[in-house]
Amino acid sequence: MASIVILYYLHYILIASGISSAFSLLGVTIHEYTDASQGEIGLLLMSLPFVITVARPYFCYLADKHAAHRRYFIASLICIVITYLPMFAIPFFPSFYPNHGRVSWWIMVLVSIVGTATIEVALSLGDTLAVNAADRTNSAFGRMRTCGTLSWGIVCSRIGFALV
Amino acid sequence: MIGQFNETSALPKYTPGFIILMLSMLLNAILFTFWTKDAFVLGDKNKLPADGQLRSAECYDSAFSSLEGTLRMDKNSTKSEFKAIQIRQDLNNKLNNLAQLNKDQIQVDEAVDAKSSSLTELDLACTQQSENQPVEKQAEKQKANLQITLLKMILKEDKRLIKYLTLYAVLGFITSPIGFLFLSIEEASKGSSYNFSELAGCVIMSQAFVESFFFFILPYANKLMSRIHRVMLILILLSIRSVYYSTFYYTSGASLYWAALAECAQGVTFAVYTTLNAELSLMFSNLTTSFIPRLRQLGVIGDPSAIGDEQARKEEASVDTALRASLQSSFGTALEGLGYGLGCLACGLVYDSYGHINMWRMMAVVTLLAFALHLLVELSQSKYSDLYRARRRSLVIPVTIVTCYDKPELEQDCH
Repeated sequence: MASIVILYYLHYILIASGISSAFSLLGVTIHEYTDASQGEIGLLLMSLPFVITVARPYFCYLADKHAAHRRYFIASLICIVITYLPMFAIPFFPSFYPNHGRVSWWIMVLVSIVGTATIEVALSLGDTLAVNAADRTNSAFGRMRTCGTLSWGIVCSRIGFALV
Repeated sequence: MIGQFNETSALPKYTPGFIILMLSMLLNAILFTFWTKDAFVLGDKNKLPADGQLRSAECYDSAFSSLEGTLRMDKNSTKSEFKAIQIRQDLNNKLNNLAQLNKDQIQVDEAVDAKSSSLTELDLACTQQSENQPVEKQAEKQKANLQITLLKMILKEDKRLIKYLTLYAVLGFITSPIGFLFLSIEEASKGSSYNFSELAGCVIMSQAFVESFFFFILPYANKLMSRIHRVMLILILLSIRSVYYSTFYYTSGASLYWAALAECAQGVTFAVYTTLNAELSLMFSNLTTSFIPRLRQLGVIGDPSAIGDEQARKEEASVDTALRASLQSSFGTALEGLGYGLGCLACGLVYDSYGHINMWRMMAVVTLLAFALHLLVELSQSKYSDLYRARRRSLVIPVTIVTCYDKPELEQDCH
């Protein structure tokens, strides 16, 4: 039983630290490595909640339909890694993004939309598994979630200091 | 210390953040791939009701938070559900007897008149088959869309799902101005002695600490507060916060660091509605087991006598876990998708046109309206309320809402 609970503590620490570092740097990365204006970046960030509205319930419905929550969750984590590779790789080509600012911008748009959708799906599926594990083992879901918040706060603040 | 990573590492700017993201996701995927499978089982077969029995027939959920859901029928309707099943079984038996009598009669007629033009057994069977076909097709369709079938059943039986989805959308709307808060603080701190970075850091830290603290103590606090109390608490805190920002914060000349105290409300709110989300999604998804007899009647799942005990248990387990992720995501979607998106749009428009103080005034009005509406819905004890009484539909004085610590006496109240 303890091994079940430990997994979800680790899950929230990892997922919160990953998401906090990405979300806090999304806007500044797009501004740094594309030729987009503040208005365009604002429009992109504004559209992300509506992408979540469509993607999240649909993929969670599919996970329920196929009764494959764990597989969908692992697949969404791997999709996050693959999706954010371009955003990670573009800065390594200093000859590319100054000369092809628009192409770089559209790549970042695609990465942001698909990446945000997969992150939210992963969060929902992770929460489903964690809540059910808490229910079965009679442990407190709030304590598992605390790890996520602490991890978010620590990583977010360190990232802000170390990188900006 | 600031920017030290950029100075010492050979990596381009901001890329370490994405390295952390990818490494943490990969590690998470590895953990979930190789951990014991027991950690991923949804539902518990031992909790499923025995064959032919409905889930516990409480007439409404208790005022305390509970991760066990019950179908909100009163005891009499539970009995009538059983009665309906029995009547149906009796009718089926009688129809089968009649069909047998008809069959005997037909054989006698055939023996008397070989050229009889009455319905033969084959014609009867074909007629019955063609009559059953639309019912079978419907059952197959419902089986293929089990999630949608169950969701429709839950929506029909328990209207609170609509109430909570609306509530989460409104909460998402109300908590959306967090980004605009920093914009407005930056505007207010320009030309003054305040350091915006320090101010923003203080606000975020106070939010994070209060949130962590409340996540930790909520398992204890949930035993003292019902769902109604928790929703009232977060709406009151958010309305105080909005009223404060729209009235005293920018105009009274007091220190801008008071925002750190005001944002404690945001921390409490986040902790409460996240745990409430988990509880509600589990509660509503647990209701699916109460529909097992009805699904058997409709032919969506098979009878143990027809398909065997093991297969029947598997189908029951699939019904038990049919809506776990869907409902978990639905509340999150209402909050972070619909509510947050519309809130950001509205806040942006008002901020641009009328300034930040009017934006906070709009939020204060929306929060106070949401609080009043929530109180009205709960006081009226309608089908949307947590205090739904099927028989007694009288107005409850506010004291009952505030002091409903007593667990209901089921035997006395379900009349």
